[in-house]
This record gives sequence, C-alpha cells and structure tokens, in this order.
Amino acid sequence: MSLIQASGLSKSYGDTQALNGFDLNVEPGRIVGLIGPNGSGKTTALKSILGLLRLDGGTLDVLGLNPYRQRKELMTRTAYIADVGILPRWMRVDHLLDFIEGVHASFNRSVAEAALEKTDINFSKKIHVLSKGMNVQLHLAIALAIDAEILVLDEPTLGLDILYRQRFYDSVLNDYYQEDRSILITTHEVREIEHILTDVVFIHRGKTCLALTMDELAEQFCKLTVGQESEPQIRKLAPIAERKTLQGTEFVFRGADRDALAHFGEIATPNLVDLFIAVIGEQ
Amino acid sequence: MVVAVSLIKREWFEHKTGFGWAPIGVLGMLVVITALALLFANSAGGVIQVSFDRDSAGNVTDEINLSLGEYDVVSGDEVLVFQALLSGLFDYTDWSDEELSASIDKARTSVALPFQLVYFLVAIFALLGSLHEDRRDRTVLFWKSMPVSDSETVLAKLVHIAWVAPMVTIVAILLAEIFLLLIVSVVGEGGIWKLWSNSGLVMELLELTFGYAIQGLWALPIYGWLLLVSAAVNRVPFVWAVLVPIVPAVLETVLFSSSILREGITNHLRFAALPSAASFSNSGFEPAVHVGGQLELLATLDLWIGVAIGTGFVAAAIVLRHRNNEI
Repeated sequence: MSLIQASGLSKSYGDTQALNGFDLNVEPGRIVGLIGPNGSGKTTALKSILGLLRLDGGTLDVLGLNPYRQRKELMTRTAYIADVGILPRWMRVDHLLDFIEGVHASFNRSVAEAALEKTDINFSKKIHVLSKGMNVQLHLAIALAIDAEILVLDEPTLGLDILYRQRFYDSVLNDYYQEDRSILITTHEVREIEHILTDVVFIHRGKTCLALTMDELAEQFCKLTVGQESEPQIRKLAPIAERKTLQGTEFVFRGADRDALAHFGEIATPNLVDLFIAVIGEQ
Repeated sequence: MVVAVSLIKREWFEHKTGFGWAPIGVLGMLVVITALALLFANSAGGVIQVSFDRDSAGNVTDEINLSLGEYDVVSGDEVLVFQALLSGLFDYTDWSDEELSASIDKARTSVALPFQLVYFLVAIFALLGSLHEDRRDRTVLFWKSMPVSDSETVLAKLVHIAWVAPMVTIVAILLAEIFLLLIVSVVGEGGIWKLWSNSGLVMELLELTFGYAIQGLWALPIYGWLLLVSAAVNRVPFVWAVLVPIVPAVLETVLFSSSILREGITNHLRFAALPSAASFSNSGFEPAVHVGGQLELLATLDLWIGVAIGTGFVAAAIVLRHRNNEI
C-alpha cells in the first residue's frame, strides 16, 4: 500500500498556478527526491501533503488520511523538517523538548536527548543563541525521535556548510531509514542526495514530468559523450538533450539501445543533474 | 490533559516577560516610589491629616480631605489618598473601622490600577501577536508539524491570556498591598490590629480572582476579536484591530444617530481593563466592584451577548488559523 497517493493535484494563488496536475506515489521504504526548478511547485506539493493548504482539485491520500482535514492525526505519524529557521527562537531547548513530549504521543524524548548529547547543544540555552548548524541538529534530533512513517524534508540543509550537510544525510539514513518508512526530500543540492535516493520525481510548472526509480532511470536513460565529428549523426538518433563539455558533447537518450550507441563514444548513466537539465530543458 | 498543560506552559514561556516580569516590575516601581514618597513626606516635616466629608446623617461621603503639614488640602481623589497612604504617615487613631476600611478600599483600587492596566495592555498585544508572529517568522510550520489541532492551539492561547496569566498580576497586586500595609504598620499610628483587620485583603483576593474569572468572559468579544485579526491579517494587526470597529461605530452614529456599538465597545473595554476597579455601569470608574457586583454581572444580558459574539470571533479565528500559514 502506498503511503502517499496524489493524483491531479491543483492549487493556484491568484493568477499563479502553483500545482497543475501533480502526481506522486510513495511506497513504504522509499527515499524520494522531489526535484524541480525554483517556483516549480515543490514546496506547495509538500505543504499539501503535510495538510498545510487546501487544494483546489485532485485527490490526495496520505497514510489513509485527508491531510488538510486530518492534520492532527497525520502529524502523529509524520515528521517534518523545513529549513533552519522554523524552530521557535524564544524557547529554551529543554522547554521545547518538554512541549513536544507533552503533545506528541509518538515522540521518544530519550532518543532525542541521546542524539543531542553527541552535539554541543546546551539544553538550557534558548534556541536563538544556537548556530544554524545546531538548529538543524536539534530539529533533526526531534524529528528522528518521532516514530513516524513519513519524514518530509523541505530544503533541510539550506545555508549549512558541507560538513553539516553530509552529517545530516548520514543521520537520516542511519538513524531513521527503515523498510516501513519513507522519506520525501526536496533540495537544491541534488548531487548530495543523489546517492541516497531510491526514487526521483521531477516537477515543472506544477506538474509531474518524470517519476521513476533509480533503477528505472538507469534502464531508461543513458548519456553518450562523443567528439565533434560524430555530432550530426547522433542528432539524427533523437537525443532528448545535448550539452557541450570539456570532454566533448554529451547527449542524453531516453529508451535508446545502449549497445547501438556504444560504438559512437562513451556510454554512461546520466546523473540527476544531467537528467534534470535534459528533462526540464526539453520542456 | 497533559496536552492542555503543555500548550498552556508553552504560552507561559512565550509571554513570561509580559505577564510575569511586567507586574513584578510595576511592584518594584511602587516600592521605589514609596521610598521616595516617604523621604519627601519626612522632609515636608508634616503628618498627613485626613478627614472625611459627611452628609447630614453623619455618613461618610466619597470626599476625603487631606492636608500635609502646612500644604494645601486636597479632596475627593482616591489617587491622592493613595499617595497619602504611600507617604505612610497616616494617623488613623480617631477613625472608625468603617472610615479606615473605606479609605483602604479606595487605596486598594488605586494600587491595583497600574497592575491591571499593564496586564490589559500586555494581553492586547499578546493576543494580536498570538496567531500572527509565528506566521511572520515561519515557526508556524513547526507548530503545525505537531499533532495539535488548530482549535486546541487557539483555545490554549485564549485560556492562557484570559485566565492563567492574570494570576501573577493578582499575586503582585496583593503583595503591593501587603507591602503598603506593612509600611503603614511601621510608620502609621492607630494600632496595627486595627489596620490589618480593616485591610480587606481576603476580600481583595476574592474580588480579584472573581474579577479576572468574569473579566475573561466579559472581555471575550474583545479577546476573540483580537485573535481573529491576528489570524486574519498579514500586516499591522493593531491598525486593523482598531480601525475596523471604529468605522461602523462612526457610521452608526452618523446614519442612525445611535451609539449602541460604541457604547458596547467602550463598556466592555472599561471593565475588561480594570476588573476590580471599574464599575460596569456607564457612570465611570467606581471603587472596587465587590464580589456581589461581579456575580451580578453574570446575570446581565450584556455579558452573554458579548460571550456569544466573542465565541463567534474565536471560531472564525480557528478557521483562519487552519487556512493561513506563513506570510
């Protein structure tokens, strides 16, 4: 059974169509990257999944619930981290833990405290004196101490240095990820999450334009790098994108015969950045 | 229950400065002013003479006359009586119990005044910010990631501000009064037992407790309105909160030459601001509305109409809290 089933979601703000037929299907045990350019509707999609906005149309089912109407029930089984600025700055760390322990039935305080012991975060400090990195560590410790079926990460490492970003994803993988849980991530740092994803969904102008597993990606797409002399020939084979690099010209193909292409040059599986540029650029 | 307590505690931590430290600050200022007043009175070298105006039957009227040494006599204004009490040079040897208790009653009203005003101002701004600030700083995204419904959130804020936060104000008022009575006990003349037995402190505790309990209901249309504005607007909630009621109130006066709305608003504002000091009649401030009077308020149609309107505002605030997120 899918944890998240969304089809044909639409949402507009005034003249802006933020979602326009967005589809998403997340099975248990998946780590799904939701990738799209700025203003493509990523955050709107996540918000609708979290029950933070009312959709104009489409059907959305998260853990068997209607997120907008049943946000409270949903949040006992879902954890969420946005970028670093959303923890209450005026609150003390221990008071925040008290609060969550009091209102959240699925929160295991000792797990959060054990994670925080490994950091430099002082429990009696107010959150506004913590550094950006500590803020994320705190938020992560809280989210990972919630026994949730879905973890939603919306640009969680925005503005952090590379060390913290790496540690962040390591913790998510090691401490949270299990067979029956799923993670939904958006980030601009596509390269950093590429190796942990099991699925990728491209969103463009509020619409899902590509949704597949990483295995399917490797099967369906390939990247061919050739020298200048064979370019005209390659173009006849209907590549979906072409890009000049130092090594030569890269062509991305969808559903092409790898063996047939192999004698023109070097064949590889495109990374998410290649694919992103190819797919989004195509539209 | 654990959830309710956690939500209320969260509110308390957020507003600890306004509802906790502010009344303590007022108390501190009162102590300082008292010390200065004592010095001043000493240097004036006089004893304050207090006499009461009496009607033909010999009953004490509202007027109280004071003189400080050779200085002018003032009369009638309880604030000045309060200052006289502050100066701590009362000689109440010749007073009847009734006169002493009437005087202390007025002084208590005056002592409570600054505390109650500060509480009310803090409450207004806390309410206006309550469903607005977290949308502006985006922490609403965190609060909404907790399994807490929007009605629980809004009601916790209302209950905290209307019925939990005043407890500190009540304690601070009582401490201020005890402090002043101690000063009078030390420097006044007329017998300590007589002073304390007429101090009405127990009654004051009841009046303040009832006063704030009922005030929460009486002020519900105001509090509900502020919550609604806080949940509704993205910018300058204070301006919206003030302007939106003024326009229809003015229109009513211009178009229908009536003032039901304006009177309703001012009437509710007055007792909401000063639950133990202001009368709920239209005749202006009157000394302590006593417990009986406060309970009478519960039987007025005015109060229940206000509760109905306020409940509507709170319900609308909950709907908007559900709908609106970060700005």
